[in-house]
Amino acid sequence: MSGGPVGVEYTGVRELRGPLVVVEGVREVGWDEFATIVLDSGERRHGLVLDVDRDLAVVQVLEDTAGMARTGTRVAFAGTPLRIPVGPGWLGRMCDGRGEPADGGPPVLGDTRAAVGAAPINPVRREPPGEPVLTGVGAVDVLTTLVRGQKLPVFSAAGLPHLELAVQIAAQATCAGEAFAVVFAGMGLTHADAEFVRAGLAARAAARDLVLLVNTADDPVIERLLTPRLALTVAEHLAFVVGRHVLVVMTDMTAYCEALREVSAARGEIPARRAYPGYLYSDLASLYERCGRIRGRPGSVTVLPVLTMPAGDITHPVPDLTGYITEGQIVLSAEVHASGAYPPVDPLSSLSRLMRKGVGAGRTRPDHPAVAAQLTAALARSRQVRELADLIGRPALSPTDQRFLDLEDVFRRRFLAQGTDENRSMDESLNGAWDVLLTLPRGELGMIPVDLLDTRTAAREKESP
Amino acid sequence: MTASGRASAGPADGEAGRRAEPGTPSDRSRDEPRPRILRVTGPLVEIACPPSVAMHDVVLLGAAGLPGEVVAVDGDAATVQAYAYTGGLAPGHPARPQGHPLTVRLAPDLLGGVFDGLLRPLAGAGDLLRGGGSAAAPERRAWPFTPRVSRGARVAAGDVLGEIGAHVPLRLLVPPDRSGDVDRLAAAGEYATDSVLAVVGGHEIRMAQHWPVRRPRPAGGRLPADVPLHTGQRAVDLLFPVARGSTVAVPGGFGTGKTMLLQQIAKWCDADVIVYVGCGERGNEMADVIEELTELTDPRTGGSLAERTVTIANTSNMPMMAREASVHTGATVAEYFRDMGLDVVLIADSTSRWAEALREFASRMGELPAEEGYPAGLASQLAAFYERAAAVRTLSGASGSVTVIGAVSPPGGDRTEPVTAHTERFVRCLWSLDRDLAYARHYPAVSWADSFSRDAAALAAAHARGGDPEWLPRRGRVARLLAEADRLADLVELVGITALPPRERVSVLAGRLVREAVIQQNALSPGDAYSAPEKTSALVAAVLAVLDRCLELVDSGVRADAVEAVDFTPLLRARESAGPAETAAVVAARDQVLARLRDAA
Amino acid sequence: MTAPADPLDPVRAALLRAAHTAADEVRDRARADAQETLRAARASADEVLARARDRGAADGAAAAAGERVRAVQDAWAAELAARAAVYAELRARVREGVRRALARGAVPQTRLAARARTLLGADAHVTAAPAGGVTGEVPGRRVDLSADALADRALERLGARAAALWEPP
Repeated sequence: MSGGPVGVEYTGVRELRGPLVVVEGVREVGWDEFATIVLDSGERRHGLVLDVDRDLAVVQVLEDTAGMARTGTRVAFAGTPLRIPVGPGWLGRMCDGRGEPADGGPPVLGDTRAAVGAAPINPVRREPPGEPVLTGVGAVDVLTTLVRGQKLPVFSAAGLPHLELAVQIAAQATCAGEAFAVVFAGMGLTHADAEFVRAGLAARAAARDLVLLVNTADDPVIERLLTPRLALTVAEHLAFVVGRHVLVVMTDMTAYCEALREVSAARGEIPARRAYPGYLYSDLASLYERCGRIRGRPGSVTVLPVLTMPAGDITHPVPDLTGYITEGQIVLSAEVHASGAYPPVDPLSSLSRLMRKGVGAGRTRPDHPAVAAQLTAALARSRQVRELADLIGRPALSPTDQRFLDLEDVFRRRFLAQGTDENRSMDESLNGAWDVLLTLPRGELGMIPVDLLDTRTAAREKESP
Repeated sequence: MTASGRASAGPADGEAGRRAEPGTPSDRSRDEPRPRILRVTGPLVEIACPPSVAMHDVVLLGAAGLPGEVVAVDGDAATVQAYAYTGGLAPGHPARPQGHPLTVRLAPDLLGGVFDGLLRPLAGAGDLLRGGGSAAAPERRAWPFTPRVSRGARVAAGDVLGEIGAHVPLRLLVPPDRSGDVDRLAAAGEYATDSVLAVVGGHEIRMAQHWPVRRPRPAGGRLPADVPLHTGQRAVDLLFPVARGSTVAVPGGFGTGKTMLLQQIAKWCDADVIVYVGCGERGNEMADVIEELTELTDPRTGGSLAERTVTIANTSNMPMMAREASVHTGATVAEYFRDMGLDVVLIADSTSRWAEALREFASRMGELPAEEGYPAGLASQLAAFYERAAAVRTLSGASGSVTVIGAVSPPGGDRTEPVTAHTERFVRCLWSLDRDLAYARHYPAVSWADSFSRDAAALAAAHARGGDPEWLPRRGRVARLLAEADRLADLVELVGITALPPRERVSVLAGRLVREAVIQQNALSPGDAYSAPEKTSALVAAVLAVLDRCLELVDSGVRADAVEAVDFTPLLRARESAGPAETAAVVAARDQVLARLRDAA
Repeated sequence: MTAPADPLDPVRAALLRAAHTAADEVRDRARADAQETLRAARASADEVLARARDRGAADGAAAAAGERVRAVQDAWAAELAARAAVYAELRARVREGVRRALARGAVPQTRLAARARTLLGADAHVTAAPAGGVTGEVPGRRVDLSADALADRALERLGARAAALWEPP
């Protein structure tokens, strides 16, 4: 993907070690430059400059060094860090993790090239997020509303349907009729999962609202480090230049972090927690922080990373550092999953920190903030009551507590459970939340303003006299 | 290179730490080989350079002049740590040693501004921050100046030459390394920050002065820290109070509300100047706090809160090495205002991200790692940072202070990890944030069991001198009530509340009332976002009065059920229904509940 | 760095001319191809929809909707394939054009050799490439100024302008 000027190819390979190739005799080669490597067989590989010392350049090969020899290997440097063409030409395209077409089409073309390691957004030029992205998934829209420009991860564990949820959100998300696009980056997906993603998002691709980048489990590991960066670079241009609201789904970030750890070990770096490199936080931040809105520009980049917590451990460095960077989290629970409800969102440990600014009158619905707060509070009480019931038995509970005891069940059946292709409107979702709340005595709904409560109760009485 | 020049280039007023006058470095190196880059590996850049280059000198790298700092010298080569992304930098590119250490420009116009880790203004720096960083100059307004000495007077370092009219009372001081006769002094009037306002001993003195960030500014001496800093957060002011000039660490896992608490303190505490260092944290959050500070009114001055605040925003995706510098930059700015006799609060969110930058740097330099890859010097570096906090006698004899509040982000919430464990040893106050409280949406989630304040005794004496001798006993009683309620909570889970004796049932009730009516706060409520000391005292007194009555009732044979069934709502609502400094409404709520208790008897 | 007039400018001019000639021809064919695939796709969707209407069942309608999505996908896949073919053809023609231009002497071999020596030094060993142009070599370094390499680089530089081949004028 390099389009630099006529460049010199270097043929002096001094050393090959792990994913690294040391090239000698180089001149004016800069750090982090992109390199194209041609093997004797004519095969092309790609790499990044890790270290440049006088006339030696150490290049990390994305596809590994297998089959490379000291003779017959030619390395050309692009003159700049990796830049890719950006623009609407990406819409509707499916590519591999390095951005090469995987849909039978021609190379993706664009007039503008952008560096994949984008410059950070100036904090004073950021517009605080304030409108929702609607996903059509009730549990997300009502309780952990995704806000345009936010970064909100899905914390999951092996065996839970996070990919289903990610695909459903990617397929259904909208921004109140404004120009929208989804960039979906898959890292380390199995072929079956990749096919599932392709099929699930086919309609969106055909509507030219989707960019799909998939690095499969058998693709080069180091390439995985590039995939989310390509996705975000394409998304930023679509958002801040073309003017679309862009949702970037990145899955599985745990596979990404493992690739980072593998590369770090190959470089002989000093490891920190669980052998992950010490810069894991900063590396993840360099991805997640690319979300946002910019003052005076249309469009937004919203980031939805999906990660599996190894052994379900939320203190594992990947979810832990992610949680420190992102603005909340959607947590999937094995317990809810076992009860048969999809999506298995745990409403109490899930949180969207920017939600307060993105919901309510003029954004979703005026009753939304109160309903969401009340539902969360009621579910918390329900869980306490359940713990109490486990100790002292159901009959010993007060009548009010017995109503709370049943609440979580009602919540799962009447509100949470949803089909994987069921696209719920905000009205349907909020009405579902009301149905759950109104199973409680009115006196227990203290967080909802009285006038709202009156209107709702009256409406229900009219429906079912 | 204008931008990096402002941050780091040699100033004209010739202060400490400089061997070469600006503009001269090329003269002395006329006969030496031109400094150039030899090696680039991430933020570490090796350069060939003249022997006159000293440790910690600033070097501008490449044609773009990316700023960096010398961190090692070996023969004819020096290693430079770059404060910007070095992509594209190649061996052979030029390097320009500046002949002085990392220096920042200190001026009244810092107030209300937003800067990067090297104190370069972010306003006008464009939507995206590329290479050397912010290019545009800050808005250069004129500041009213009133002279306070006369021509011919003999002045020493730190003496006040005049006053500068800002929302915060600022002063023009004789720089720390100057003294002599006042040869010239500007008349009262409005001046730009770069105009010469005085000439002392032949040296020009301007409002804008320069100081190397890694060197603490001198003061006349340390004073005991015994004046309370009112943060406006009751959990802290009541249970774990902090003195002006003291140190606080706020450890908390993600989602426990660290940033929220620090932002509330930045908005409402009664310091003169706030220096808020967002160190490796979220961009959207910084955008949010900047917007809120601009919109909120300072209850003390009537101006916008932004006008007493200096914001240093080095978000997590900005260059990691500039993050390392940002806490020192923040401390320097804080000391600058302290020297004018002001009380300054320096907030660093988060010191863990700063420590990570130290670790990253040490690892790249090939230092032997100690715990979890952190360098062996971590503890001493943390200690040195917190030592920049102090209540001081300034050089001119006034008193000023810098209070340091540092957030700590323990990985996995593990309090035994090195940054948290070391920090706990160096600070005077610890406000531990508790995940369970945070998940129960209890703000601020300051744990009463795991926090401490070593300032409490000194502050109790201050309160007693200020006419509130009951402060310490009241604090003790609240702490005991909370601890007793926690102890009973476990029991209640096992046996049920009805199995407890009446006095213990009142203790459980007491825990709830203290938590919900006093400790808890609603950060979004105009009445409750902050709490003046008199309101905090009134709320505590009200709850204690109600509890005393409850105890009297059960002692006199009234059933505990009846007491528990009383509607305490007015007391629970008082913190929100009363204004931030209002006590009458609190007293009224207390009387209403006392009346209900009388009816229940 | 202000470079003197690039000796390769005539090559670029030649291949742009070649590209434009090629573009006019292939664009027409591409558009016809794409239109045909889309027409066929729409027809098949309409057909399914009609069948569904006949059945009159709700699940029939859902199936028809699914079918229509699939039809649009098939059409899009067909169009992408057509674009790829067009692009491959463009590349072949540009290569052919550059080979012809070099064979015609639009850029004398000596200028290419001089360029190679500028990049590698006066002692570079310059060889004529089989399909036109030259390659230069010194120990450890090499430049490829062969006809195909020049053509490919120039095509990449066309960027989104190549998309004009399949986009409506």
